[in-house]
Amino acid sequence: MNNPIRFIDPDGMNADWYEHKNENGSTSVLWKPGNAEQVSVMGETYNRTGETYTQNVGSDASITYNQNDAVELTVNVLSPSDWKSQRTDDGTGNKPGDEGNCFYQSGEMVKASGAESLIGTANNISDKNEGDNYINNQVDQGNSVRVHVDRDNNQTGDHWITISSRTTDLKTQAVKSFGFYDPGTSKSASGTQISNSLDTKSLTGVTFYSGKTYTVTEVRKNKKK
Amino acid sequence: MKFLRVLCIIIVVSCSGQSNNQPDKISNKAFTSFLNTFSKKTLPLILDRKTVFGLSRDVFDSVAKTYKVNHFPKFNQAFSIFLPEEIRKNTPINRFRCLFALPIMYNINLLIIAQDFFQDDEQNALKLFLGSYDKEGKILGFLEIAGYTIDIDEKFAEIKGEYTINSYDYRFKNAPDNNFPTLFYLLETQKLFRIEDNGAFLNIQENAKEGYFKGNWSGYFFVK
Repeated sequence: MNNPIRFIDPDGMNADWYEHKNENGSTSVLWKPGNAEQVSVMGETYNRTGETYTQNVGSDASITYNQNDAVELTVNVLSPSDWKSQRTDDGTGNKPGDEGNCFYQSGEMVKASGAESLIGTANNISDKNEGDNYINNQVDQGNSVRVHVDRDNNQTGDHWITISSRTTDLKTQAVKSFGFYDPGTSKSASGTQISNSLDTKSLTGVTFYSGKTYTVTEVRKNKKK
Repeated sequence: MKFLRVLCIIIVVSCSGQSNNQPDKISNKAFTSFLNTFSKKTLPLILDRKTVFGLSRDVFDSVAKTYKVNHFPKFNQAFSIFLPEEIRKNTPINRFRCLFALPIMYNINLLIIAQDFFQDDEQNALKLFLGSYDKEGKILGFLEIAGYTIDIDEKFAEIKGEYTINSYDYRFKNAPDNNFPTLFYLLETQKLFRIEDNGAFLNIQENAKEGYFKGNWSGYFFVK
């Protein structure tokens, strides 16, 4: 876990975040005035990382700071090691059998969160607000959710993805977005990319691996525990 | 970790070797019509990851939350004479699109052309070419500068005001260690080209690096 060691509180102008990799593998960070690429503190060199900084709080949550203001809280229901792919390792095609199916692999990812995504279209939620509420309710319980998306703009679901996180605006307490893991790529770094997120107002988002825009068409319910 | 770095200075004149098969006489009207189909762009032109993927056939307007009609015109049959034979053969002409016309240099027209590829009705690859043409429409040089094949490779570029081109080619490889699931294992090849006054593209520098990279919509950044 990253450990901020100090917060120097100037006038809030022209300050940035800096980090230093310690010998034991941990990271020390600080926020200080100036925008030099590197600064030296107590003999250690810190490299500038920018105006924002995301601090992991355990393995299931993180807080994002804009300057020294905490602006977002992200709660994770999946970790990158939970990601599954429907594609072969070389990226040239789908895996044989069920493993090559996005619905199947999305369900496997839901399982990794401790929940079970139901089969059968009768368990779909098509209403946007109802679907939004259902995802929130499941994330509150630490569960992932399987979601059907339209990726070719014909208002019909044609791909399944899995909810991986929820980000809340700490100023307004409104939910901003749901992160998702995508089984449609062979690359774990693409499938779990931090920019893979659905805006909660429109339930749309862009997947990193192909640049395609996904629009949620249905949310699949989980089995009641 | 495998780490490779190669530096080569002045290599070869690129893009030659392609037979153009253009007619001896190109009508002025045909070339003017072709040129007028492109959107004018100033330099520098940055073709980073976000821009390259945004040039795919279905472009989403993140403000209006709707798909835009493709606003880059497709080639018509009459324009096929402005493609090198090797590029246009075996490809339907409507898979090419007219993108950008860059500022004229030494009386040379510099045009960016897209080639679209589809698999199972989905765009799975895009190639962006920079073509140089004399004032009569004769092809002087043709260079693939950017594009992607999903999960296989990605290529980005920056064309600078002094008519040099930085290109960044990334090939996805299997990582030797699977303990870094949020990092990409890539072979990065950076090339620097200079556009000559005869329209050729001269590769003047090249270096390669293999390892773990972070990725975002700007591109990929070496970690270790």
